[in-house]
Amino acid sequence: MTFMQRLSDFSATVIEKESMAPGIWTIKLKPEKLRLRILPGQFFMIRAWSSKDPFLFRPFAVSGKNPDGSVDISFKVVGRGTELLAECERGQKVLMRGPCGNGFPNPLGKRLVLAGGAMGIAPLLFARHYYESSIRTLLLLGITGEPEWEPFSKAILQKFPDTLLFSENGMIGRKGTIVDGLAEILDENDEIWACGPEGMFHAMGKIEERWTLPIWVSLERRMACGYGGCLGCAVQTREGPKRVCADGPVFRLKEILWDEP
Amino acid sequence: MALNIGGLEFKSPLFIASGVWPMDSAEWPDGALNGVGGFCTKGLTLRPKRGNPGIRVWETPCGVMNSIGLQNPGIKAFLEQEYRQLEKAGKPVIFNLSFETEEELLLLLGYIMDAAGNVPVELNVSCPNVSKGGLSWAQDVNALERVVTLAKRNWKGLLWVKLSPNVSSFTETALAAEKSGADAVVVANTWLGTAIDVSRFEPVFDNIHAGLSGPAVFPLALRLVWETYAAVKIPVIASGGVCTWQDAALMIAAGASAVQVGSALFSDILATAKMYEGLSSLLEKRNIGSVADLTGIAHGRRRDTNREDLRHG
Repeated sequence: MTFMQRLSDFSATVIEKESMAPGIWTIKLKPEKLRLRILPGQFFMIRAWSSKDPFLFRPFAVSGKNPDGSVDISFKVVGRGTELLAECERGQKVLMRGPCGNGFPNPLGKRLVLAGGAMGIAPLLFARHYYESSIRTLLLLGITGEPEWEPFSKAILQKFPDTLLFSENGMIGRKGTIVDGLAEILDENDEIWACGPEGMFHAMGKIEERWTLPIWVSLERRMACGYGGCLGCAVQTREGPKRVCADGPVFRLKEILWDEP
Repeated sequence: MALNIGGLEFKSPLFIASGVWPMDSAEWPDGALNGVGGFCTKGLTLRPKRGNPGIRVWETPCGVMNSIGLQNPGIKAFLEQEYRQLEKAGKPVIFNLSFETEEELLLLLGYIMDAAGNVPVELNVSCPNVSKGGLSWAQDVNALERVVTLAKRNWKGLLWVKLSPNVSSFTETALAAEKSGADAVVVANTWLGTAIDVSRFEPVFDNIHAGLSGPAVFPLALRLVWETYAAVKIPVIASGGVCTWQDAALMIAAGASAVQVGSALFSDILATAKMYEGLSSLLEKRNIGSVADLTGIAHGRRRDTNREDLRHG
């Protein structure tokens, strides 16, 4: 991909911070020196602390890119690293590593479905925005019954009012899973891009078996390096083991062998 | 900053440790190889290995545990593909080898000789010795001596032995490696630990145990470097938690001729490049001619201090 920019470590400033729901944030990070070239699906490793503890960067999808050169990172607080990132205030410096990974393949000329499971919608928000003027995209969000996803869904709807929303318990949007929703719209579309919990991909695998349209998924794994060195994030595929950080995070769903390491 | 190990010249005493560097040049981050004297390959085995299932990396305070399982394409595919990429970096490549039997080691050396010549090799003796029921080579001094002797007889290039800290007497293994013809000992590999996930009360790793590295192990590695330097005459290459130029300088002062950098790159991709800058300016400021002049210097100071104490006592 000629588009890709070589990965590096650099510092960035928090220029905006917005609460989407309890424990869920979107922050805008502006790199100090470089101008980033990124594709939807690429990600950054971020550390909001300068000490060696916590020791590792944390991987985050890009959920938006702004004209001023800043990127949006939308995330849910799940542990120490995300907690420290959520504590950052405007003006604070963070360290970033990236851009990491391959990103989704060029979709030009296709009718695209973007299917996000809960926080997994983050990279798809960027895709939606990125291709807004060039192709038709349909955004789907599926959530479970935890209370924080209701205000989160409303925040997404506010930004993208035509989002098709599914909640497992029916608390907002249609009752059901995103996979139920997908089944109804497959024949009007050419390709699916998805990101979310692994269970969602398993269910989608059955769709890919029955329908011919390609499904691309963005995977999440624990990562130590983010640059393809440590092999900590490997996933087994039909072509042998691949690195989620460097060969992915985007893969053809049917290439992945879930039952194996 | 140049140095000589076993007759081979290196431009820097800083090496990238096995298992942290991408083997394909497309992923090489900008500037990260500045100041690097050479780099060790991922652990290579005779046959391809898919690596371990389940979680492979787990963060700990000031460190990281890993259980990768020697994932690699096997020596033949490595020599045909990745090695061609690595060579483009223009830095010495040290072949890190893992083997379960003596026969496997001989075959590995044979393939390397045919395709790459007398390149430096680093024996990973933390891997299991199948004839000993999976005990590592390093855990049995006789097996260690046998396998290093075998490698020495069949290898004309530089031979490093990367020792395991998970043994009862570390210096005994270092002496065994020296006696059997190692050109240098690498001190050391990761420390075996265990992680349990508090949300499930289940082991994190499928193998239960995994190797700990990062700044958390620095004092442990420093101790082993100190003791090994006092025990052997061959060069000691330090490896364990080195993150800054100060850490590197301390390893050298404790007896290291060279230093390997591993997990440090996870938290700073330019760690080695920065260490090189820091070490160079240290040598210049203190008017120290070379890294060799700094090697083991803390042992001398310690003896002087003892004499001082005696005089005053």
